[in-house]
Amino acid sequence: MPIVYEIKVPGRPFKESMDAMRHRMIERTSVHDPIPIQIFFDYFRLTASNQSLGDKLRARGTFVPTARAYRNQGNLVDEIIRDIGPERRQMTLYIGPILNVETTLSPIASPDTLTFEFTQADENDGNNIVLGVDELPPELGFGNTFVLRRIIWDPTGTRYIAIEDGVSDHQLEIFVDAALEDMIFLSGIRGFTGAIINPVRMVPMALAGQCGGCCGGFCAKPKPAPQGELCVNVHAKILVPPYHSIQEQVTATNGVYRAGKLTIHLASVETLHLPQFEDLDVGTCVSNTVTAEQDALFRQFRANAGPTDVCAYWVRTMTSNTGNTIGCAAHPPGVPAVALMGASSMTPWVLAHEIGHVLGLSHVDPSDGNNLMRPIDSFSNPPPVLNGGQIDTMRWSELLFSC
Amino acid sequence: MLTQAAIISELNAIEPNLSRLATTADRSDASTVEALTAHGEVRTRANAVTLISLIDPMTFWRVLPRTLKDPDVLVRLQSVRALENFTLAELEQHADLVELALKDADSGVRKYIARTAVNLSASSVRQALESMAASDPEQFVRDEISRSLRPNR
Repeated sequence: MPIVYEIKVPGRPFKESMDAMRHRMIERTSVHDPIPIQIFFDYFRLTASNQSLGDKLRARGTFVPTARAYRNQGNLVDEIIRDIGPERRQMTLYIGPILNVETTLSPIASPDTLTFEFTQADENDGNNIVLGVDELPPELGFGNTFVLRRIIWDPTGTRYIAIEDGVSDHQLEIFVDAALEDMIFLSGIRGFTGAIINPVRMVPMALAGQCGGCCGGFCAKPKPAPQGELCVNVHAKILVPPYHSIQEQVTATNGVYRAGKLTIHLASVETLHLPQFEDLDVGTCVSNTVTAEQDALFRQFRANAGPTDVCAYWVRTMTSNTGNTIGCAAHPPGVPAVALMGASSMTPWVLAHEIGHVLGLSHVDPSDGNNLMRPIDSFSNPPPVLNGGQIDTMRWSELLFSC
Repeated sequence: MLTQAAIISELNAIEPNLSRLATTADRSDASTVEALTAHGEVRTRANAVTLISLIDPMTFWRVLPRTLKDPDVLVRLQSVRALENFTLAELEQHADLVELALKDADSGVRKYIARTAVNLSASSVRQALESMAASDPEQFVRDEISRSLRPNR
């Protein structure tokens, strides 16, 4: 019986694109059309913020139909995907010059499962897709080099199956679970009867705060979520007084957070006369990307706040060349901060939404009508709520302390 | 072609991603978005101006004289920020509108249009900026313009 070490990652945020990719691939393979190589690895490229990988994969062109299967030939790809797995280990993706893949559609009549079987290339042993993974639990006795053998796509997700090079019963599986919606990455082991190994918990790089970069990548969060009541200090910085009072917004936030035994503690309130920042340039408002104005405001006007305290700045407007934003949680690394407008048309929960981002939450689908983290500031049955996965994610934040 | 409801939903998002929306919209959506630049909700109007600048420049330049006079400052702010989506050559062709925005009563609008205007060579714009650098009622606007003009002197 093989030992299977599985890294399970949430695919819910990618479900739409995963389904679209799968359907496109099913269409192409059912008529034996060429298939683009990058589609196999789009998930890795997206989650690892690795732009050069995308460029190199595109340069490899397509898998072209052959008599039996598909074949792709081009320059080898040798890329490091950063911050995956425990201890922020790296995964190396090596794609040899020649690849062969066989496809299976099932059921044949109306396929919903697509299997790619990577087979040995003709010329030599080196033409494979190889994953180099460091720092697997040593008790497993696994090595570091795995050969990708199979990718299975079905409505439940995408499973990458790799075998340790030369050790066929050591199996590594990366499962992008389309149903897993919280942002916690889980690893586990099947078929292992040696020493007890705790499951490894991983969160996306962007949520861990200190890993840098944006939009994905993974880094380790090996400790368990803290228990009991947790607090975060918030310092109100008022450049322009909001329509809803600060206390009203704090009360509204704590009303939502109470379900997770989380409390924001209003540590200080300060009025700032800074007309140059009252109409704040927030750029694209993307995590870890700030404008010069955001950087200056958040770094220079942080009186009374410790490094894990969140400063909330109320301004008149937040604009950019790509739109007006009513709340923005983008902040420089290590300087937790949010900026908010204070318009009368806003609900009092925008503060809760933005601090939710700072504590690690992403947007949910707009159809989730009463979730705090829907991208729209209106709710089907206010007050808005958080789900269990979101609460779990927030409780991992290093900005929280026992209170 | 997008539905009006889908467009309004994104325009009213907490952190709208209008660049992304612009990649799915096209000129067939321009008339819908143009109508939204006169919508009753301020934020919808403001972000509609941004979106139209991203999907149909001709319509943007047509509505801009109106949106630069919108009674709500947020619409005027987004109107001048949308100018950042255009090349210097395009802006030079519409220097009269840049000059109009430089005279806005709101200091926030003047701050942002000044940032764009300092790159223009039109003499009327340069003169307006020189004048503002000396006598704009707001210190931070004067400072902003002075800083920007200095390298060109």
